[in-house]
Amino acid sequence: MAKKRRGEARVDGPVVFTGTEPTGRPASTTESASQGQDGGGRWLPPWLAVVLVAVVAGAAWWAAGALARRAQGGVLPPMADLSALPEPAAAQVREADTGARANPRSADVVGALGMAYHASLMTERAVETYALAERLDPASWQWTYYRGLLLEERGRQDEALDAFRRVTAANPEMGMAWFRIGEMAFKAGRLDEAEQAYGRAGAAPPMAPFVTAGVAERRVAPLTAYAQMGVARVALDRGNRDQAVAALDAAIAAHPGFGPARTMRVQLGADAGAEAPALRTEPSALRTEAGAYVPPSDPLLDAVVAQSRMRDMLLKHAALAGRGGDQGWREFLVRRALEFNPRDPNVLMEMAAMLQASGRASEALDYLRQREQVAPGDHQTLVEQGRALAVLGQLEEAEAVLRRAARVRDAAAEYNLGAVLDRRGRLAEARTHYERALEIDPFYARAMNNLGVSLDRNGQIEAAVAMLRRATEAAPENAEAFSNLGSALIGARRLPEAIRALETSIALDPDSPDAHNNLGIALAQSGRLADAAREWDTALEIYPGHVNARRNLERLAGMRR
Amino acid sequence: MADSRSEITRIFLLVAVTVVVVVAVFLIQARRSGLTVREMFSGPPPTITETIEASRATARVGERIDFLTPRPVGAAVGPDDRPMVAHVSIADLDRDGLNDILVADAAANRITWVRQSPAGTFTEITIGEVAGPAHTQAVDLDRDGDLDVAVASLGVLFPNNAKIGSVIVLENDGRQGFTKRVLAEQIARVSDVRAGDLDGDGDLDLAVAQFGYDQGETRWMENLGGWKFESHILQSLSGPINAEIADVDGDQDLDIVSLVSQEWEEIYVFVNDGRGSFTSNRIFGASNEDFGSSWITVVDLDRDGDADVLYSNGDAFDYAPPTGRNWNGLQWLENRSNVEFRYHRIGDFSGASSPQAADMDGDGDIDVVVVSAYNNWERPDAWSLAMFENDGQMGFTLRPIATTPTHLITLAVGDLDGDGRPDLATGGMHMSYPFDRMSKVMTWMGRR
Repeated sequence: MAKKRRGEARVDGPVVFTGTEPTGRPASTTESASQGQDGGGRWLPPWLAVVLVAVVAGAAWWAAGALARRAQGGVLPPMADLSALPEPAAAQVREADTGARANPRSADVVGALGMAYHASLMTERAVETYALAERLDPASWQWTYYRGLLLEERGRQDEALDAFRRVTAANPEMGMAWFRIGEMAFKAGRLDEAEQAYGRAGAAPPMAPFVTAGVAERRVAPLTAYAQMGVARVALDRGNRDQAVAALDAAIAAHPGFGPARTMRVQLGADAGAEAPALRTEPSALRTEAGAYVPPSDPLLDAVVAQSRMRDMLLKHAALAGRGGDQGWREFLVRRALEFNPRDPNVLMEMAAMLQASGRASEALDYLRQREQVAPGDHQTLVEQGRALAVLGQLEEAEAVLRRAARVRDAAAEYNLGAVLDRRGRLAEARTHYERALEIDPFYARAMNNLGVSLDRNGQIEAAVAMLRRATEAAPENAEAFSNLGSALIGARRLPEAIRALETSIALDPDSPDAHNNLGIALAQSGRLADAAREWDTALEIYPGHVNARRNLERLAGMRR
Repeated sequence: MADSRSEITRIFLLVAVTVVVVVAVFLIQARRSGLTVREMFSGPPPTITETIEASRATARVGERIDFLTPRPVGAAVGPDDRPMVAHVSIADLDRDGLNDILVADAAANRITWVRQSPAGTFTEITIGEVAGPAHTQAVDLDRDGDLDVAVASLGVLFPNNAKIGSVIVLENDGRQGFTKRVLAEQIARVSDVRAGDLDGDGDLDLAVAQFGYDQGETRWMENLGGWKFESHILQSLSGPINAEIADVDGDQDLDIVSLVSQEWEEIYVFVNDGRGSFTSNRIFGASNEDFGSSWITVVDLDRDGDADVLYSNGDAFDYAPPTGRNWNGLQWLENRSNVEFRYHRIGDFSGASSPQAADMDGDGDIDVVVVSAYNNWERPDAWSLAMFENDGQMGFTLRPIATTPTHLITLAVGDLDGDGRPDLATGGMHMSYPFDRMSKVMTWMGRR
């Protein structure tokens, strides 16, 4: 029927296949067309040739597409089972999946689905989806990079290394990929490759840290510092300590706040029995926080983290940000975790801790009370509530809460209860709780410190000195303990020891007016009046309202008159 | 003739145009799909296929098995208690033919002996006060015919940079009266102590892991006799958890295998020349600084006559929430000779800790049992004890065993009831919420 209709529709056309070819051979079509072009009436008309080619092209298009889909195992597999995900994260994946199915040939859209899986901690699906995005656009190296990150996370070093090598082949200036290659090559003992990769990481143009709405600025250590630390480890593995020291000193000189290099440098100095020269000028670097390792900031990874709705991912990176001093990023992540997990006890505790650290005890208390509702019986919540109440000066309530916390054998509960009782003037009771804290944790430096001060106030000076000395041994970075030890030693008339303790305190915390004041007293009692006056002046420079320092200076002036 | 040529030309043109169009279509589709034309016909390149498959390549999850009878032993746990057992080990401390359990109780700062006497009756006895005990090993260190207890003392369980660690031996007087001997003190927090003759002089020396915090060490302590030991530092990295002693290279002397956690996440073999001179070899390192290394056990897992390394990564104490990470699990490093090891992932297991090897199902191959200290305990399917059943070809199937009690950090395997089958002892570390399914020390007796 259709053939007949075609023929009928073109009866008055220039040359028409008449349908009268007697043999029925296929060749008749071309013959007819040829004849038609020549006016002979046996060749296909041009429009039909075009239609024929178009039909073949269409069929080829469909066939090639089907082959491509088969070869890819389907552009997109069925959506993953999201039943284990919290609803906000599941919704995010569903949305990304819908977008990807609407545009399955777009590497960007499929890659975005990979990021949604990644942000939702669905690692297998994320790896698979990133691989598909890579195939859709091999030039877009970021999908390869993300896949490498996930493989690296799971300890699949060889596959991750292959991915990062592809990234650096596509973008030789991708410093983070070079750094990761360096790390993996180092772990595998390929030191030359590691050294070269660290070199490329250090020389790569810096990537701007990831920022998003609500995060004004990021505080991150530069990749070059990490690369130099890597070079130092390579040198150590080769037995070249001097080269390691040089690399670390260079890293510290260029980035004085880079804790991990300081820690390693201190260790190297200790191994050799010598202090690290680069650290002498900044004793505060010896404090614990300075040494905490935080991995280098990775803007691409941060982009995934910033879109995550998963508590675990958000709190992990919040913790790293907190450790690295990147407070704005930390707050953004904790608040995001709270937005999507408002009743999660871990999120509530992190929110409270963050607020308490920034001096917002009242707000912290609110979150701690919410946590108590969702996690009843958790003594750690009660300890933190007690601390917040104490900061707010609500000592009676703090004492009640901490007594509940102390039903569990917990050093922090006992210590904080002691501190509250101390402030309420119940010194003997306070001492009992400090002692209980030390029974539970024999190296609880703050309990030793407070107990030492309490003994000093009670006139038990030698016991105070012994306890405070223990505190300084348990926490050699604690300036306050050294200052209190110095004060107790003054009371014991052991002035040279007092001066040493107070000088150590000031070295650890040069901005403590009390330590300067106490040192002034020790110096004055040792007859070094000019030095004493200088210390009291310093105390007043730091805190002009320091009554004791001013009084001491006035007395000294009176003596001189 | 001219007509014929023209006809052929037209045929040729039509075919050529069609072919060109078809080829162009395939090229365009190939580009759109990110494949080559050849790959369109043959499938994606193996790297991608492997990547996708490998992302799923962990142990199969099988049915839960129920062949162990759990029972709390030792001191009972009250509602306001928060047990913190850092380590359990099984040994016949009094040599009465019944295995006992040694407990490093970090909440009470003491070492206890859960004595089995008579058979099936367990009584907990304190044998030494030790601050922050992390590990015990029953060993006749002074070679006087009874078992002493070597103890690693952290000082405190929680992170601390102070030099508060110590190496302690509870010396047995032969009647299970113990005298505390401090072999080293005021050093970075000590997490593991193992005994072995490291210098070939016939007495027992010690391998020591010092976790520290930012600064740690690995050392061996040479036994000079008369309870005097001389320390030799092997490495100055923070975070050593284990320092196992084994002949790794098959040269008939004892080497040291150490697991270094913190940001390093590395495993080292310190190869002994037989006289106590060691060469460091890094045999594994994860560049994920949050891999969560939690334990190694040196064992011939594939029964080929050499020492492999069974290795868990499941530490999640570093930051909140302490609920395990999705990359936590188990792996083994296959000893390939010449101190070269090949990495094999066994399977995922959130919060994996303290893996032990034993033929649990009696089929002649070595299975792996493991506990979880950090899992999402609010989920009903958060397993705290599981077995990875070996199919005999080093393929493993995860067999969940128990969800209660939670927070199990330490596991020991031994024959506690004398029936020739492996039993288990576990210890609970309840540092985080929830506190509704707590245990201190449990035995899990095999029934099949």
